[in-house]
Amino acid sequence: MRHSPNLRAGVWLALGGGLLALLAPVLASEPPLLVREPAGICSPALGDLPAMSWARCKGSAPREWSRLTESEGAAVLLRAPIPYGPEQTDLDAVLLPPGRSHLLGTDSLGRDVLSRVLHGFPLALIVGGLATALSLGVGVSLGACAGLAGRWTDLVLSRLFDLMACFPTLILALALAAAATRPGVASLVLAIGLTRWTGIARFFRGEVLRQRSQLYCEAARSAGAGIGRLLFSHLIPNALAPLLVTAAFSASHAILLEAGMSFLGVGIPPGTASWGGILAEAQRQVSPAWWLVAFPSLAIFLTVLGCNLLAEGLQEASDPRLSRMG
Amino acid sequence: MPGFLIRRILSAIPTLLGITLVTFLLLEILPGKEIALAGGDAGSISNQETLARLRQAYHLDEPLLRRYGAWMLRFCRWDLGESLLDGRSVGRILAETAPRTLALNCAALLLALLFSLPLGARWAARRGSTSERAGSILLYFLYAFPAFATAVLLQQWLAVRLRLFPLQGMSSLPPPSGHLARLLDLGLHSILPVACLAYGSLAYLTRFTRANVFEALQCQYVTAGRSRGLGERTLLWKHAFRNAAIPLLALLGTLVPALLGGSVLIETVFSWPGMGRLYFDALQNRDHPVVLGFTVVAAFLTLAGSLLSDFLYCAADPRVEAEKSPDETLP
Repeated sequence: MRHSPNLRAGVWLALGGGLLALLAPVLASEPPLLVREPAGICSPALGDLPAMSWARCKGSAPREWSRLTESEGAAVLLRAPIPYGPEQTDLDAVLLPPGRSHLLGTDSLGRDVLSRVLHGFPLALIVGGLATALSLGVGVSLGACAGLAGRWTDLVLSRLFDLMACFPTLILALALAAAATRPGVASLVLAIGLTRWTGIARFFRGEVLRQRSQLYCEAARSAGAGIGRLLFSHLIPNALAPLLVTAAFSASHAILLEAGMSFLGVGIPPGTASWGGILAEAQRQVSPAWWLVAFPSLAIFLTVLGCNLLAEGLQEASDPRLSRMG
Repeated sequence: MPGFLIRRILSAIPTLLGITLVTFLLLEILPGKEIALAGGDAGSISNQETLARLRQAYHLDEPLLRRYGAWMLRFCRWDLGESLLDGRSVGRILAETAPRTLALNCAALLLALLFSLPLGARWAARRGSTSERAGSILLYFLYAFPAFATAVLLQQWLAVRLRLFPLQGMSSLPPPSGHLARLLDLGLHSILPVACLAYGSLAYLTRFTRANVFEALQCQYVTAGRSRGLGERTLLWKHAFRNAAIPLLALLGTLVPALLGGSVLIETVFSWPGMGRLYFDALQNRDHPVVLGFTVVAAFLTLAGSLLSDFLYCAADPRVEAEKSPDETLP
């Protein structure tokens, strides 16, 4: 890692993106972070996140925190640095350019762009990560089936890979997302993950075929290793480096796909903060609002760049002959 | 060569059948199947009798395999059902919009090649120079910047703010009179979409060209040529580039899915009335027959692209024939 600037830059960008994704609910939120109420200290901002119900205010629902402070003698201890929620509209502050109150401006409903861009991080990273994990799982298991079972299974599965590779990813993902009964993160992950596994499956099948004929595999089998042991302690570890590289590239494609799909408004519930959604919003404006284009694009660009750098860095680290960017 | 080509075509037949099967299954999981097949709006199914008639007409009561057979029969006659919006035949709508998308894509591909081939070859020859380093970093950044974001950016800046280009569509309203004026108008309208679509594959193509030309420049025939006193220019263009162009030919066919996916986004941004825009509208309106029709056509085009690239590869490089086709390497 010390010798690979790509890997270093990629790791930093990925860590930064992950950190922003984790901190988004704390960084930008309409309800205050900490409130002192008669029953003790609570957090309206975090209370409605999953697995955070212990932080919920006893006096009222998280959305009604202002009533809490007014009537029940509670005091706001700490506000979020960006005191706007991603879906909080303000019709008095419509399409404001970047300024002091809204650092990155507002959109046509007066929603704070910085808050929306920040809240786009968890969505993009969760969808990108889970979809990649799904396509890795499907690809590796089907590739292993094809490579290990041989003959008919292999023939049928290879045809299946060929055939699924014929569907352009964005188009198939859009059709799958349209087939989902409820839009949401789960359907987005399924739609993206189930369209992007063919490359991984083909690669892993080839890898299994190549390794299976090598001496160490034969040795392991003659020592009594079963299929499972062969797969998990020999074949997968040996192919781990290229698989990780593929996973990183795949994540960058998945994030691009997510952005494209949310730009078209397919797959996520309307109103949810997403980078593609902000760009779509920008496109609907009559007068140009550059801040609606620039900042979500920048977020997409940095995240995808991070994934690509990570992938190239991993590639270089696993194969030192490719020691420069290109 | 004919043997290889025939084998390749024959091996595409199961894939072709598979595509129809997958599309059929997609139709099965789409919600509102009866309505999706009916070719009318949802209100047309008002009572159970109509529903029963539809079920019978589309074999919905029969087992899956029989239904697939019936669907295939219709499909073979290019009967993809009717649009739910206006009841027009999906086959006809697709045939109407396809040329616009193909023209857009061909122009974009040509533009991308026009820039990426010379740039890639030149940078391969000058590997390590300042201009090559700066260029490759720039390309690397462009590669991570999505084409549809570029499209929105260019549209907002060049069309909305500076008013240099028309905002959207294929022609002005009302269209200008005279053939030449109309052609100019079309050209003006297509500049931004073509540029954005080309941008999508520019970085990829340039990097690919550079890598291949660079690899070719390392070959012994280049060294041999240099020792015979051939100029660097001749070596680059007549020797290295020609050999590097063979994998590039094979790549062209595989660009089809990326271009088609890209045209859904770019045509939507610029309201270009092609297949991509049609697909987006169909998704918005839950117009399933159109969605499936386009999906099947896109898959066929992708398959055709990969066949075409095999043919080109085979025509450009006679050694391919001697090697075994990928299907024969199976154990």
